This record gives sequence, structure tokens and C-alpha cells, in this order.
Amino acid sequence: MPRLKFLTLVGALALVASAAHGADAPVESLVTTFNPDLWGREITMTSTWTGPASNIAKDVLDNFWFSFLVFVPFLVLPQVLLVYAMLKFRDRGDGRKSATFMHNTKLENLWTAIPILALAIVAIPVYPLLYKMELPPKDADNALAITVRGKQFAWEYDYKREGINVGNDLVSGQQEPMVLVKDRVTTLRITSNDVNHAWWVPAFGVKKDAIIGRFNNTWFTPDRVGNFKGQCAELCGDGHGVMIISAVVVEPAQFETWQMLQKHRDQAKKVWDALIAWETGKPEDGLRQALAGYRGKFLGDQQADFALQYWMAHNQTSFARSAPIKGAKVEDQASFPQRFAEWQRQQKLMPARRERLGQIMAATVAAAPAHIPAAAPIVAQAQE
Amino acid sequence: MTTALLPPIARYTGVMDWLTTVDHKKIGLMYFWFTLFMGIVGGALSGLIRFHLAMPGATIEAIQQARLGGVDVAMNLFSENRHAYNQVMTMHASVMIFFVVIPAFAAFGNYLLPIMIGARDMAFPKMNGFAFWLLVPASLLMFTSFLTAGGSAAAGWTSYPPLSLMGRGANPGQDMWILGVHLAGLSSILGSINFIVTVANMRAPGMGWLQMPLFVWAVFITSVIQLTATPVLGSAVTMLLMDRNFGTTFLDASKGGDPLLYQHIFWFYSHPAVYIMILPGFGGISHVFAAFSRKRVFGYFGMVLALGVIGIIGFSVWAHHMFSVGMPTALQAFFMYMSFLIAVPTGIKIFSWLATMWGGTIRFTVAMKFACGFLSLFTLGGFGGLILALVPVDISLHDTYFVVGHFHFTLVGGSVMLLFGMTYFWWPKMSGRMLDEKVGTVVFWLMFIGVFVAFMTMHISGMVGMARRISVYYEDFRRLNVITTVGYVLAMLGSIIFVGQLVFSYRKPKITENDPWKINDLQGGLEWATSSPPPVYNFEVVPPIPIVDHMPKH
Repeated sequence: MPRLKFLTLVGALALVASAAHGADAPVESLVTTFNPDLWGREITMTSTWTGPASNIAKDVLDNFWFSFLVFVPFLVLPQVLLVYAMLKFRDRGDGRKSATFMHNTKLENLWTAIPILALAIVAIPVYPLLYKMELPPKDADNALAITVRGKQFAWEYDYKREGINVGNDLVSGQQEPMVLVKDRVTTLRITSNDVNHAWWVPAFGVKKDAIIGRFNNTWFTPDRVGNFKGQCAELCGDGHGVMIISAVVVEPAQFETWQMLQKHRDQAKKVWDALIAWETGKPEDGLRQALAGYRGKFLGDQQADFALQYWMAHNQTSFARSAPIKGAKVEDQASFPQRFAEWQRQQKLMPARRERLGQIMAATVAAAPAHIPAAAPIVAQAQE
Repeated sequence: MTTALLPPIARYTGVMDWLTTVDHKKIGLMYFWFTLFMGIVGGALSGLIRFHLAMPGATIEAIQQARLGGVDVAMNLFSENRHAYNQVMTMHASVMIFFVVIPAFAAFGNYLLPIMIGARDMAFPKMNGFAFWLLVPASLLMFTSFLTAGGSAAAGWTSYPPLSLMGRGANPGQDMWILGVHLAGLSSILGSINFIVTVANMRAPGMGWLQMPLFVWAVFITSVIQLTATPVLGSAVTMLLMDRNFGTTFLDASKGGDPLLYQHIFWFYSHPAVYIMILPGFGGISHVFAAFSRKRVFGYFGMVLALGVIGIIGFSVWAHHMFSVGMPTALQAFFMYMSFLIAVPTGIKIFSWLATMWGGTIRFTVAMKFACGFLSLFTLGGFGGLILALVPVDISLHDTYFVVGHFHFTLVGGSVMLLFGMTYFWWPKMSGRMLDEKVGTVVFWLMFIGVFVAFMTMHISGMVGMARRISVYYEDFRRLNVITTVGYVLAMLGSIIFVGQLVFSYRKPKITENDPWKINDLQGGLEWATSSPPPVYNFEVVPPIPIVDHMPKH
């Protein structure tokens, strides 16, 4: 907890600093939150058992332990009896005669009836939970409704009400996480574009198959801020193992910020492209034009400049993860060293270019940024 | 009554004799060696999987790191060559199910069942030979598919559409897999008809239904399941074949078909199939428990009833493989409760085996060690099954390594331990040679520890979130995967010693007794009343059936 407070303090200070000097500390922390490295080591796996993060997962875990405790005598008893019989009744060569009984109706009835009783005890509480998992609560009018679409080998998330569509990072082409809100009911409609997939984040305790031509519904309420990862859970072809699923759970205020940022995503990509193409065209002119175009699109939008800074940082992070792949295709093998060197060079150039972009932005009409909630790095919070 | 009335039919000798034989004992032995060979192949395939997953390059993080460093990521067998991984994974399962576990019990059934009921052969000896020889082209179809363009089937042994419908025309491997399954299925249908007719009609005079040994009962009930369920599998893969090659649209969602239809039909076979893979062993191991406890089997009638009830309920639990596909909730509840119920007859069997041991004078031969090891591991596997039957919990565990661990506990800790135990028990009868007890003990401990370590660890991998059938995984699961592979090495080592022991047993002197274990005074099994191995005609004169009143007295 003290650490969380400290981070919040740092975030607030950074916000003040950025308002004064245009530094990008909140930008960086937002990037850490919304663009985590799904292929890297920063997110640790949590599951229903190791770190339940939704109401459903907690119910499932409770139900598991209850059933486990009822069932466990039927696991332990045979093992104990087996070991006992092995020790007690082994032939020691002392001429002891075996028993001759072949039946014991009472005993047989007993070991038929008692398991049935135990099963009945377990069967009762599991029934309402089963129905709970199928139907979202009726009073959840503020539910976050997301359409999840699986395709070989990525996920697409459609926030219909918010008009947001994420899934494929515009720069790296890698899987993007979905963003969820803490303590807000999330309903998923899951379907597939091609073969069967299954959407599964172990920490949420929810798994549903994505099947072409069907919409499967499921729901849960994430109750912990953090990064949660999973993997496609139905064999879907060669990329099955790298079909990553990830969810970022944030506070409502941060979700507002994320929504705002997503509105600027496609336009900001044009500025990014100009930034990458900087030295091929005329120096800076392409960049100035792209920036003007961007500001033209969002005329009067006070947050646009902030969003642009965010996306530049976001895309730079993504770019660092988009190394060309060696050995993907035979014809690519020869050009691999050049492509790899080019990727490395672009990466080195990037900080200077972003700084120049900032200077141009500051020199031209600089709208005062509206209040942007500070986003503390989520990984640190999850570890609290 | 002399042997002169029954001259051994020997039109050929040597290899030709084996190729043309219709003798149930020779066919049984051919089944036996076929499954052993296939077991080595299937085990080697799983070795490829296990070694890949234990190497550092099998993690998502390692691949990304290699990419960012500009290094070739194909450092592991399947890190980038994932299509090959899917092929190996698919074929490991297909081989183990269709060519190892199911025919392995047919091996014991063929060899022992006619002898146990005092018959001279199966009811349809030529069909018996045909059923065995069908397995050879079936396995050849599956294996040669590795050589085709696009490789073998790679959609898992379940071959769910739409994935298994992809690559129509371009990837004949999937079609060859379907035809291989058809032939293997035909083989088991013919075999089961043969068993049913033999048991129904060819029991020695005086052997009533409730005088039959438990192994005969188990094979009979298994055959009924096989005869009822296997044609259903045939219909499922036929739809696949038609959709792939002849333009039908049973399963093609884009043309109005339903991919879920296949899953239902497939599991309607494949759930009963898991009982096909273990019930004969349940019957066989009852003999081992009774023989080496020097008692008669406890609760015979309850055992038979339990087998029958498992066979019946086994047909109404198939959708517990599909809890995440989006079924009506009431249907999920039904399948959950039916899956619960199947634990009851299984529990009856476990407790009855314990009661068989109770008060006995137990001799720990290798067969008995395997029987006890089976009981312990199978109880663990069954416990995992109970946990998986709970729908809310299953949603979290479905398609994870927990499931993989569970069914390997029941298939390796269960069926394979049973098969090993039955082999140690009946090999002296089948080959006329004893197996060395010391080597057998080493095999047992390697198997027991290996199976426990490998598959218990898989349960944990699943609970911490590792999905199954993935060629690369998150680094969080790395240590668990290494431990699993250690367990695999132990179990595989045990299996290799086991096969070697069987091969080298032929160099040992022949035994002369009919009853090498000295158990038949109490057991009264007909197989121990004839020579080891039995003559072609099994019995000169069928010995009198020891009438045992198995029914409980009131």
C-alpha cells in the first residue's frame, strides 16, 4: 500500500510537471499501462487458483474447495486402505490362511450409498453457480459489452457502445490487450472468423469457445486492477501456441482516458508514418503536413495533442517489439541482415525524432491540455 | 476322446503360418506385438513433444528475445515449425488410442477369452484374422501420411472442423487419417462382434453367465460398447471425408452446416471409447488381485453390475468434453450429474478390489505390484475426473494440461499399468516363459514414479493456466514442463526395459507347469488348467467348470 501511494504521488507530480514543461511522464506511464509487452516477462501468469481476479473466478475457487473437501476422503481412503492392506496382509510365510469371505452386502450397499450422498452434497451448490455463470445480472445496465472475434491467430475486440475496435497493433502487428474496467460487469459475445478458438483468461475463471456462425455469451466482473494473460484454448492451427490473449483492468477514470486515446489512434498513425519516413522525403515538411492534418481532423479537441504524444510513445514501444523474423520464409533469408539493421537504425533515430516533433508542436499552436488522470504503472499495483 | 480327433491344422510353417493363421492364440500374440511396436512409436512421438517442451526455446518469451536479438528462433525442434508439432501431437494421440490401448486389450481378449470359457477358438476365426490384419493398412495409412505434401493430419486426434476441413485437396494427410480411423474402427467392430458371439454361444457346458470369469464379462461388456459406439465414430469421420472431398456441407458453417454437430457425434463415440480402453483391464486385474491375495474376488456380482452400469452411463456423459462450447445450461447440468454418477460404479470396483486384498495372504509378484500401483494412480486419475465433472471448475480447466494430466493418469496410470500387470500375470501362459521378477520390479518403480511425476505435474501446469496442445508456452510454466519431461524419461525407460524383457524372455527355458503361479486351487481358471502355452485346440477335454456361487446370500 505505501508503495501504491508513492506511485500515485509520483504520478501526480509528473502530471503537474508535464502541464508546466510538456514532459511526457504521464504519457510514458499510460503507455506502460495500455501497451504492455505481451511477449515479454513483465506480466506474470495468474489463474483461478493462483490469483483469481473476477467475481466468477472467486466463486469458482470457493466451489472448487468445497467440492474438493467433500471428495477428498474418497481419494485418501482408498490410498490409506491400500497401503494398510499391503502392509498388514502381506504373506510373511508364517502359514497364515487367507480369509474366505466373498461378500458383504451391508458393506457393498454402504460404499454405493455414501458416494452418492457425497455427490448429492456437491451437486447442490454447484447448480446455482452454473446458472450464475451463464446469465449476467439483470440489474447490470452499465455493463461493458464487448464482441470478441477470434481469427487465425489473433483476437479482435469490438466495443460496440464506445465505437472502439482493438486487437491488432498498428505498428508491430502483434496482439493488443483488451481493456476492462474494475468492478464493472463485462459481457462478452464470442465468435470466430474461421476455425474454432476459445477465449480464456485464467485469472477471470471464464472460458468460451469461439465458433464460426455462433455467438457465445459469457460474463464476469473483474475486481482487481492489473494485467492478465492467457492463451487460445482450442487447437486452431499452427499459430495456436502464440495466439495470446491479454486483458488490462483499469480504474474507470483511466478507462475514460483510454477511450479518448483510441479516438485518435488511426489519425496518429499517419503522423507516425511521416515520422518514420522523415529522411526519405523532404526534411520535416512531410512531418509538418502530417501534424497539420492531424490537428485539422481534431480541430478544437483540446486533448488531441496529448493523445498524439501518447501515440508516438505507444508506437515507439510497439516498434521496439516488431523485429523482423528470421527464417519465416526462405526468400526472406537473404535480406534478413539488412532488414534487421534497418529496424535497429530506426529505433536509434526515434528519440531524436520524437523530440523534434515535440519542438514543432510546441512552436505551433499549442492547446493547453485538459486534465488527464495520472496512470500509475499497473504492474506495480498488481504486485501490491 | 483323444488328441487324434483334433490334428493341429498346419497348412504352412514359419512366417506363412503367422500370415495365414486363424488361431486365436496366434492372432492374440500378433495383436500383442503389434501394439508393443506401436507403443514404442507412439512413445517416441511423445518423446519429441516432451523434449521440445523441456528445452529453453519453447517459451514465448524466449522466441521474442531471440527475434529482438536478430537470432534464428528455430533453436528448438518445434519453436517455429509449429505445423510439425501439431502433426506429431495428433499422431501421438491417434496411434496410442487406435493402435495401442484399444488393440492391446483385444490381444488379451483374443488369447485368453476362448480359453477362459473353455472354447477351442473364437466363433469366427477367419473374421478374427481379418480384424487384426485391418490394423496394418490402417496404421500404414496414418504413418505414410507424414510423407505427403502438407504432412499428416494436424488437427488433433479429435479433428474438429472447421480446422480439419482446411486444406481440402491440398493436404491428403487428413483424408488418410480419416480412412485409417475407418479401418481401425471396422477392425474393432468385427472384433467386438466376434467376442459377443463367442461369449454368448461357446461357453463350456456348465458355465452359466454368472460363472464366467470377470475378464470375460469385462471383454463382453466392452464389446457391446464397441459395437454400439464405433459406427457412430464412422459416421462422424465420414461426414468429414464427404465435406472435404465431395462437396457436402454437413459441418461447413459458411454453407449452412454445423461444426458443433461433429463434436457431439465424435464424443458420443469417444467417451464410451475411454471405457473401451479400460474396462477389459478392470476385469483382468480382478484376477491378479484375487490370485495373489490367495482369495476369491470380492463382490463378483457387484463387479459385473458395476461394469454394466459404467457401460450404460458411459453413453450419457459425452458432452462433458464440451462444456465450453456454449450449450443450454440445463443440458450442462444433466451431463455434469451423469458424470458424477459414473464415479459410483467405479468406486464400487475400487472398494471391491481393496476388499479382495483384505484378509488375504498377499504375494507381491510384479503383477501384484502393478495392480496396487494401478489402484493408487487410477484413484488419483478418477479424482481429477470428479473435479473436471464440476462445470464451473471445468470451465477453468477445460483444454488445459489438467485435462491432459487427468486422462494420462487414467490411460497410462490406469490402462497401461493394467496392461503391464496383466502381461506379467499371463505371459507365462502366453509364451511358456516366466518373466524375471527383479527386472519387473525395476520396470514397475520406473513406471510408477515416472507416471506420477509426469502427470501430477501436468495437473499443476493446468491449474496455473497452461493451455493444452500449444507448441510454445509462457515462461511461467517452464519449470513444470521440465519436471514433466523427467517423469516421461523414467516411464519411457521402464517401457523400454519392459519390451526388452519380453523379447529376451524367449531365450529363457520353457516352463512345464500348467499353473506356474500355483493359484488355481482357489481360482479355478480354465486357462491355468491347460499347458503353457496351450495347444492349438486349447483343451483335449474341457475340464469340469468349478461351480462357484458368486451371488450374495441373504
